[in-house]
Parts: sequence; structure tokens; C-alpha cells
Amino acid sequence: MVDAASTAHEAGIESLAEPDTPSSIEALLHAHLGFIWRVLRRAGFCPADADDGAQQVFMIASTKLSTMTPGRERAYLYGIALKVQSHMRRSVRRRREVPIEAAPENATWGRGPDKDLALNDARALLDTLLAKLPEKLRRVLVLVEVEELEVAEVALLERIPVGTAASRLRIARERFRALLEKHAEQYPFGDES
Amino acid sequence: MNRDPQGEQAARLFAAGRMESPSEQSLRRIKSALQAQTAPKTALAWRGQRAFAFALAALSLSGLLLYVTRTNQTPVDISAESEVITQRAKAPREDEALRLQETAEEPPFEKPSALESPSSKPGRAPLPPEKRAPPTLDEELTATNAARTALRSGDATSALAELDRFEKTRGWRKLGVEASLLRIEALSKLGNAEEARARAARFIEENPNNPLVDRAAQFARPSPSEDAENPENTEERK
Repeated sequence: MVDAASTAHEAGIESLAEPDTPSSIEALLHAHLGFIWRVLRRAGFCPADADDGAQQVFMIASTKLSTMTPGRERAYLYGIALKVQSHMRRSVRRRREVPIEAAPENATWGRGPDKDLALNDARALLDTLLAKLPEKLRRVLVLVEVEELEVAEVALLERIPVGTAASRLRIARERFRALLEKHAEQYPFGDES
Repeated sequence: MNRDPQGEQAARLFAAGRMESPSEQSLRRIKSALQAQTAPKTALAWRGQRAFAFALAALSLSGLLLYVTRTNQTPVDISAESEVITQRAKAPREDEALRLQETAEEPPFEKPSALESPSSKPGRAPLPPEKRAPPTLDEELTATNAARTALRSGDATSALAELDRFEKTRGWRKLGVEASLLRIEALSKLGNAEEARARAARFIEENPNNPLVDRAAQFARPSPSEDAENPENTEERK
């Protein structure tokens, strides 16, 4: 894990922790920011919105540190992230506009002249396909395939039985593969035209 | 490992997603927000301690005054007082009934309250009910999110209205800095560059170490179009 104090010092920021909770929120931030941010990104939010969402998650978490069970922080943060995500979506609907970064429909991976571009294309395609999955399936697929969590942990995060998580994962994989095949037929990989 | 054996392509897409992470700037920004959140707590605690000390001092002073007043009074006839006590003990119900009757005859006591109608205290409007409780972080986040969403959709007027509404009804407590920057952005988008610039300059002056200063600095500079109109500005900066 990243040394929170040294990173904070490097960043020129004073310690955020209160004396009775040494470095806890900093430790949480360093340990789980990437996870929470990616969860929001794969939910379809653009990087700026994912930043906003992650900030909200950790600000809420910092007020509820005392109620967090040690060892279950990730599940707790994930639960907050789902609520924040839902709130952000409602806010978007109210405004009748879509700040969620619209991935290009014809995005493919590996087309860019450099690695970064290829990665961006791949992520755009990933998000396009994930957006076509039902939310429950998408969440399980992202947790297993992107975050590489075990099904048992996914079940814990999603608060569902392990069998249900496994079943959702199977269906999600099948649907994702079907979507990918369909997309490949429409926009063959490596087709530069 | 939970991998899709058939999906090499899918695996590459997932790997691309896995490699993505928040920027260092995001981390700094979140840290700064968390720091800002913890700072008011300390200020509040200090304010609370001062209020407690003040209350204690006031209590001591009133106790002292009471003591001095009592000691200056003429001695009470203890036997007469004990007689009254005995009588009250004998007929407590009658005494209580009498007291209630007396109370009923008295004009009703008008307790001063913040809920008084505006006519009762001219020149002082009553506080809106929701203003008395400080806003929660969730409320502030909801307001800033609404303003930010409006700004991103190009509706700077609504963003400004949302910021004004929250400031009037609730007041900022923890996200005042973010709200200021949003206001500057909204003003700039509405074409009120002069005010945006003035506010941005003030923002930089008041929050020199805030990570949002870079964003504020963008609004503190004259736009290229203004530079074109006033080449003297460009010359001055050079």
C-alpha cells in the first residue's frame, strides 16, 4: 500500500487524519480510490464525473469512519459509490442532458497509432458494450473481469448469494461476448477504413 | 482466475479498463476536499469551547449577583415562613387551584421567538426555517452537482440560480470554495467576464494554496478576444 503520510507530504498537503483516527481516511483513499474511480468509469461516467463521484464517496465515507467495520471498507465504499452513482444519474436525467461521455459507436481497439490511443479506443468500446448490458449484470462483470475480484467477494459487495453472483456472471459473459461478436461483424477489428 | 476462456478480445478490453486509474490531480483534489471538510470541525469545536466558557462565566456572575442580593435582604421571619409551608402541605390542591386561577387571570406571557411575524419586528425579516440548521454535506454536494451539471449542459443561468438559491436558503459550510469557482465559471459563460475576473482574482488571493487556484487563474486572465480588442493589455503583461 502507498505510504499515505509520505505521499501527502510530497503533495504538499497536511495530514487529513484526526488524532484519534490516524491516517484512516488517507489510507482508505490510497487503497481504494482506483477501485471506486474505475467502478464509476465503467458505469459510464466520463473521467471528470468519475472524479466528482469518487470525491463524493470519500467525503461521505470520512463522516462515517466510525461505523465502518474493519476489513469491510471496500464493501462499504462500494455501497456508497452505488448510491452516489444513482444520485448522479438522477441529476443527469433531471437536466435532460447526458454528461456521461458518449463512447463512439464504431470504436474499436488497436486502431490508434500509439498505445495510449489504442487503450482509449479499447476503453471506449468496452464502455459502449457494457452500457448495453443490464446494470446488475454489468456490475458483476466489471467486478470480476476488470477488478479481478472473486465471485464470493462480488457476492459480498453486491449483497447477493454467491450462486446468484455466479449466475449473473455467466449470463453477463455470454451477453458481452454476443455484443462483441455483433460489433466485430459491424466494425471488423483492424479495419482502418 | 475468473476469465472468459473464449474471449481473447474481451480480455483485452477488460485489461484496458483495468489499466485505467485516476490522475494524480484527482487524488490531490479529493485530498484537498477532505481537508476542507475536516477544517471546519476544528473551528466549530473551538467556537463551542468558547461558547461554553462564556456560558460558565455568565452563570458564575449571575450566581454571585444572586448571592449578594440575598445577603443584602432583611432577615426573614422563619416561623412565619414555616407556617406557610405547613399550610401548603395541608392543602396542596387548594393552593394549586388558586395558583392556576391566578395564572389564568394574568395576561398571557408573550415569549419572544424567531417565528414572530415580520410585522411584530419591523425592519428585521424572520429567518427561513431551514436556515437555522447548518446544511449537511449531502445537501451541499447536491447543490454543487446540480450547478455543475447545469454548467456542463451550457445552462449557466440555471447554475447561477442554483448557487444563489442554496446560498440564500442554506449557506455554504464545507463546499464554499467549490461554489465560488462554479460561480466564476458561470459568470464567465454568461459573458460577464469582468465580474468573473474580479471574483477569480479574489479567489486566488483568498485561497492561494487551494488546488483549484489553477482553474480560477484561467478566469483571472483576459480572454484572447479581449486581448485582441485591447492590445495594450497584452503589451502590459509582456
